[in-house]
Amino acid sequence: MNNYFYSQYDNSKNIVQPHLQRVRQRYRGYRDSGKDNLESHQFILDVSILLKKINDFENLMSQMASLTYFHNSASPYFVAATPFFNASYKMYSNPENRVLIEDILELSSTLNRISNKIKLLENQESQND
Amino acid sequence: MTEPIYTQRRTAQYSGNHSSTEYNKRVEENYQDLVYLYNKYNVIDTKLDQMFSRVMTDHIFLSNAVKDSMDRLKALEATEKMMSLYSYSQLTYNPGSSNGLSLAVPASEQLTFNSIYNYVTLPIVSNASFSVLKMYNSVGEQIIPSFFETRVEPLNSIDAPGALIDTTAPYYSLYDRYDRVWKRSVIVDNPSETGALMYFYVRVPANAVDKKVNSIHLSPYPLNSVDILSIHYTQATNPTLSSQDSWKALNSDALYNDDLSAVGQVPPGGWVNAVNSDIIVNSAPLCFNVASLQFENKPITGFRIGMRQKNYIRENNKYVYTYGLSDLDIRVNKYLNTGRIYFRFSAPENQLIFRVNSVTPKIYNVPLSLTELAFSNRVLYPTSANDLSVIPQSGSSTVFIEITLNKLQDDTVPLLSDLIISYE
Repeated sequence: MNNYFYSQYDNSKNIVQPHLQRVRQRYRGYRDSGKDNLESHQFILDVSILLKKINDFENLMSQMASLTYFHNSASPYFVAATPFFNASYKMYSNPENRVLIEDILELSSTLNRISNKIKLLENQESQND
Repeated sequence: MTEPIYTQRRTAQYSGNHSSTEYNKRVEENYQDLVYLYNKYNVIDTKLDQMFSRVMTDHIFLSNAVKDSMDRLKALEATEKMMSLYSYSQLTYNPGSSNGLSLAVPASEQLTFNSIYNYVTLPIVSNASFSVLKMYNSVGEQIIPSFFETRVEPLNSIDAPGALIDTTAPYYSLYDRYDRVWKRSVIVDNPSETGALMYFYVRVPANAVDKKVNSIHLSPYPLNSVDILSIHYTQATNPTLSSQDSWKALNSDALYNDDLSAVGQVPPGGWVNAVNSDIIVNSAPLCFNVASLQFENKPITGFRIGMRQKNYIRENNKYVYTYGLSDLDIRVNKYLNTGRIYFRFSAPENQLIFRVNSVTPKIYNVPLSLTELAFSNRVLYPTSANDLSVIPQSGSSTVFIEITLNKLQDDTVPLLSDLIISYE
């Protein structure tokens, strides 16, 4: 599984430069078709790499968005959070928990539930007064 | 600003380019373009990784802060000797056994729980329930039906004809996709106290009106910032989706009139002569059930939702009021007549529950006088023999409440939104 919460040295993270090697041509002299072909192959290779990277970015963006808005793609029942990462976290003195990603809609709904309960308690308090 | 492309367009003639200088120049330009694109991707790669990590980390700890608030609220409740529903993890269909008999609820009797809209309701018959707006083709891809019809009616001087509007299509609210929301941004030079106001009309498709729609779901966008002023329906045969149609409040019975705790739980716009307003301020996702029998002689043909955005984002000396929906669904749901579920309630730390004095359901789509028909419960205390009993034991750290919900005679399907337990 990939690391998402820290950077780790990885060959794929190297600064990448084009593979294209420019072959100087002089038309009135020696022409090397091998070099000419290599140049076009390298050009295709570079374009393919860029295309793949663009698709990777798109996938990463989709992954991020779907993690926080997955409610329609997953069963809406009994799914409060999705374990996704190969990671865990610890807060205060609590034991370690798995990293769970809660849907943003669900989080909003939870906030709503909290405010309803506060409202109930406030009403109760004002009645007691 | 458009970024430059190094490679120049060339119009070589007569069997192509014969100048090696030109040829070399073209290759050089290709190379420069590639270098630029590679640099761009190296920068984006790093930025995206950092953003992904930041968004996720913030998201995790923000949701932890919400959980923390819940715990504090639980502690406050404990001082009042009360408990309520907090998490789906409190639900179970199999709490154990009583007198050696399993208490497991058979699949066909299991109440349905929805964690997005926060309710427990009757067992839904999924293969007989369907959406009248969301359609899918034979390979499961979502399609927008041609009969989907909506209308936006601006209501005040901010969101008015002639205002600068940046909007996506209202049908975006139907998509089950995170990258599609219906947003309507009103851009103005000066802010307004009243905010931006509009009516959003949606027609119930003609082929579905005789199916008795009985449920409406909506998720305002942006979350927790849009006010839902009212929800009305019409039974006009061919609604014009305007004020000309006869509109009635969805909460036409004025359920829980003037009860502040019902705000957000009853469709707004139905209270009469109330001191308090039923407007849902900073609305979370909403779900309302419609009792279909009361409309049986004349089906619902359209809905009207009053929306307001009072919050703005300031950018480049302009004020942007954004509102809309990230999800909209009108459904025909079939439910079984009755169902059961168990809720697990744990005593606060270092405390025991000796007796549950009362169990109060919060069902805001059923009048208080009919709650006894829609809801019943049984308290189960764990025994020392690892069993469950209705007789209070000498202190329990956990109790189970068995809930039974029933459909009312007028076909009202109760939506249980909370359960308040008083104990000693």
